[in-house]
Amino acid sequence: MILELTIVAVFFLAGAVVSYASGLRGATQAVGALVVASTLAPALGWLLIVLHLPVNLWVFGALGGAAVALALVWTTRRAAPGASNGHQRGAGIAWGWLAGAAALSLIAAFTVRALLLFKWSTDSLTYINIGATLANDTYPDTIYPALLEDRVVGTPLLHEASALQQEFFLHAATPLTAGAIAAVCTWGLWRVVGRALATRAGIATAVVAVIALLVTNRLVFTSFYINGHATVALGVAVLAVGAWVLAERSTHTGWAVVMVIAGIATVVTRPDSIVLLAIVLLPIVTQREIPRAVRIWVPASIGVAAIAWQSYMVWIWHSYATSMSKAALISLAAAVGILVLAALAATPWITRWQVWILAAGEWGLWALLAAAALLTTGLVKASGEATWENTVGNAGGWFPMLPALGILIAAAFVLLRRTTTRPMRFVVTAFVPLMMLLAVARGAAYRVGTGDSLNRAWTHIVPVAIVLLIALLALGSQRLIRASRLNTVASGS
Amino acid sequence: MIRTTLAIGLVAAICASILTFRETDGQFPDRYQAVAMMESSDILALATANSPQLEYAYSLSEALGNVAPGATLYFPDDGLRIREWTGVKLAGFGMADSVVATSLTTSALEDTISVPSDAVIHTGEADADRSWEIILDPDGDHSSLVYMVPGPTNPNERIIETSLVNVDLAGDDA
Repeated sequence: MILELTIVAVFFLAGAVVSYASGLRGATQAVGALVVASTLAPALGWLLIVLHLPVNLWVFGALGGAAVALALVWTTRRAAPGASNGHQRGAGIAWGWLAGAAALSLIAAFTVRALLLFKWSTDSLTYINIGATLANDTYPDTIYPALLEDRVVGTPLLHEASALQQEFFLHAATPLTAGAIAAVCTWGLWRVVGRALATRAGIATAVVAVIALLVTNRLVFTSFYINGHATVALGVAVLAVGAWVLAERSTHTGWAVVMVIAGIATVVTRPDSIVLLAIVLLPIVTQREIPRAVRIWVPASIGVAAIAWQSYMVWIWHSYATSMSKAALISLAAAVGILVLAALAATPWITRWQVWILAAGEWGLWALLAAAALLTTGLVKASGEATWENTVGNAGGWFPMLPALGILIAAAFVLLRRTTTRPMRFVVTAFVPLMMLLAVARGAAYRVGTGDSLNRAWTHIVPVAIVLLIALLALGSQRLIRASRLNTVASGS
Repeated sequence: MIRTTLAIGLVAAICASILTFRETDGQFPDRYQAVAMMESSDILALATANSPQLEYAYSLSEALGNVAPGATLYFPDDGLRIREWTGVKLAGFGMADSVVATSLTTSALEDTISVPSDAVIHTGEADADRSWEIILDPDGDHSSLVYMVPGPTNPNERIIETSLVNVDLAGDDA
């Protein structure tokens, strides 16, 4: 117990330093700390693997410690008395918020360990087994292509520190990741709604979001499930909700650092993450209200990391298999595509064409799905029927929240429009055809039951869907004023 | 009006989710329920105790980790750089110290192994209907070997998977 709480405290400290160094202040600093604490191990560990360095706890700890020390030195020098900005040493540290977040993390870690709250499946065993090979340095001598492609490395890295206490998984890892998701969702609503309407309204919407998350059975299950779904859901929430908050000019651009860390952790956590990230990043890159530097550097950083990781995967296939994996090559192409997005973000025209780009992307996915339905013998239909049974029939445990969200968001999408919510809206609506196409790509239909991969993957977007719906209900449609009218007003005529 | 109607819909969905939460949980086994507690933190023991398939899959690795942690595992791969799930299981849950792929064939490595007369033998069943034995030499801390006896079916799989693993055969004085 003591060791587990120490591990949680160390990761939180690292998260707090990174969050502070990113320029985040107040409650945002604490939320950033929670996110970074939950994603730092996967976001850093993959690089050691690619560089053929040992990933055991000593190396990991030394590199993480060095990174934190460098960040501390940099921030204290920057804020030292006499520095150009004139700030006092330690100024800007949100002691109260950080202490509250750290206390909640430790209480949650203590509770889940004491009550043995964790969920597992055969997949969980595979993940923590790989984590054990990382901890004892046998990973480079045992990993093979199919296993790397199926299980990637994010979840094993997340649990690797458990080897310190002679165990195979960290009880606190997934619940704290889920806590970070809740923190991001409530933070986004509180920041934007609180600023647009009133602080009380911001708090009320945040409370509704927490309740909606807590009563959704499969989200609660995922909060304890040893798998990568919570990490991917966190990455999607940090990027999509964070982009909305940035578009509403309600947070510091330092949030981009948190986006990059969570985005990289997402890349190395599930095999389909890279295509999911493509639909998450497309509306961000094209969103005019988001600062240009963020639109360029977030996809550029994630893209470079993704290219390095997918290249390593291709190299493993080349070295230890007789044939090359098409999925590995497609994933590498998708990673290059993300870097291309960053380059396109530098052009002035991409924001002007956002509506058309997003429409083309989404309708393109639906068109591909229609073609797949015609060309395959019932695979799309079988996937659709199983998904209906899992969601509406509750065989997968998602009824009634998921069908209700589908109906309410569809209605809100038609009746309420708010430009800045596009980063959330696009990922929620494009997710459906994307996942149906992935079933076609793998050549196997989704199945009835809670263990079905799409049934588990709904977790990736449901938190964002809840924030999107509450945001639209609270803020309503955006009042759009034509540029010509603005010019008229400005000229005083 | 539109927002009020949709907000009522959201509140209704939340209320319905609360009312159906237990019923939804009730249709799943413990480890798929949202809030059910587990009996132990030893996830490997839970897995092998609750499922015959998982016992087949992981009992050898679990036993190796219990009786010979910190071993050096020599995997014969005939120089083909073959890596399989068995190797990952034995290295990870088997709590190995290091893994060495040898270019020896399985049969050549088998020839180098002799079973001590006073060896302590642990037996069990592994995947693919094959039984296994971990034969520990009591004279050395890590002088032990793992031997997966070929089963009645799929004898050729011995070559494909790592059917014979030499655990620090040369002995380790440490």
